Amino acid sequence: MEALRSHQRIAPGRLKRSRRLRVIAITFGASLLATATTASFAGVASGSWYGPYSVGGYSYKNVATISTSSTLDQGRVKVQVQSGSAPTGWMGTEPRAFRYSTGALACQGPVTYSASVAVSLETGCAFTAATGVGYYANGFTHGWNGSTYKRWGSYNSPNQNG
Amino acid sequence: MRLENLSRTAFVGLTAGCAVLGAAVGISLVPHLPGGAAQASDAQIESKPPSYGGYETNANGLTFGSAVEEATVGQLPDLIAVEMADGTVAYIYQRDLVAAQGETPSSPTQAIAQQQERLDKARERGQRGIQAFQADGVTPAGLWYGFSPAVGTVEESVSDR
Repeated sequence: MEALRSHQRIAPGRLKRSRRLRVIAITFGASLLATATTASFAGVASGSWYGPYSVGGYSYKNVATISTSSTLDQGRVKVQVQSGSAPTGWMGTEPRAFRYSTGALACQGPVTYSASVAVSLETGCAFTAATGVGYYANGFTHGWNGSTYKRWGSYNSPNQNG
Repeated sequence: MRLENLSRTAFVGLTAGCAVLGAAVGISLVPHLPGGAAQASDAQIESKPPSYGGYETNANGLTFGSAVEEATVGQLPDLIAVEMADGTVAYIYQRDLVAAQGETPSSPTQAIAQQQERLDKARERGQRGIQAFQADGVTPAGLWYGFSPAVGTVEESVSDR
């Protein structure tokens, strides 16, 4: 009887401790899982820079970037002058994104030209990535050579899951 | 200090700390998970761009395939593979994509003027889809809305550097 009373006195403390440990463990695990999975399915990945290549007396390089998030998925491409600034309208970007498994075009943007004297120009096209599916960006950049526009492709960005 | 003896406030604080710690561990694991955010190294890039085996030709003599193959084939296919909203693959005519792009400007001044005109039209009309087809180029497969106005334009001048 005395032993039973003793057990009844101790049990609530043990129970409380056990519950609290469980709450802490679940909070830690859920937080870890939520962060890791969300971040792995949403992120930004850039390819290597392509270039330098020369158009109209300016030396350029370009890079493609894939960006996925819960709000906006984009294929992006950036062109940059190696030194100095290019005149207004001399640089253009044409972003694209592809689904890795099929090569199907997920989005493509129109050619956007630099609206001022600039050292770089970057644009994106928007698409809705399927969850857990890989996409990459691959775009074109355009440069004025004094009489016409020349088009240069970028390297592919790495694959990024939606 | 024993866990069961902590005040309610201290316990809530401890739990919040564990949540932050869990998030930190989660973030540190991201680069090691498939599809995790990554900055490509040269090795990744040199691990070959994907190849989709060139273009196929349908019964009507039209080529169809991925626009990425232009780099190896030398030209775009007649029918370009696109991803539809439901995840299926359909095809749009190359000529329709070129038409959506508009004419190549003949000077930087014209490029800027055309760009402004295109933006004004897009604001006025909203986004328009391009008719997509099955690989036969005849059977309609809905409208493809992937040709979108540019988003997140960033133009950097010398003073920004």
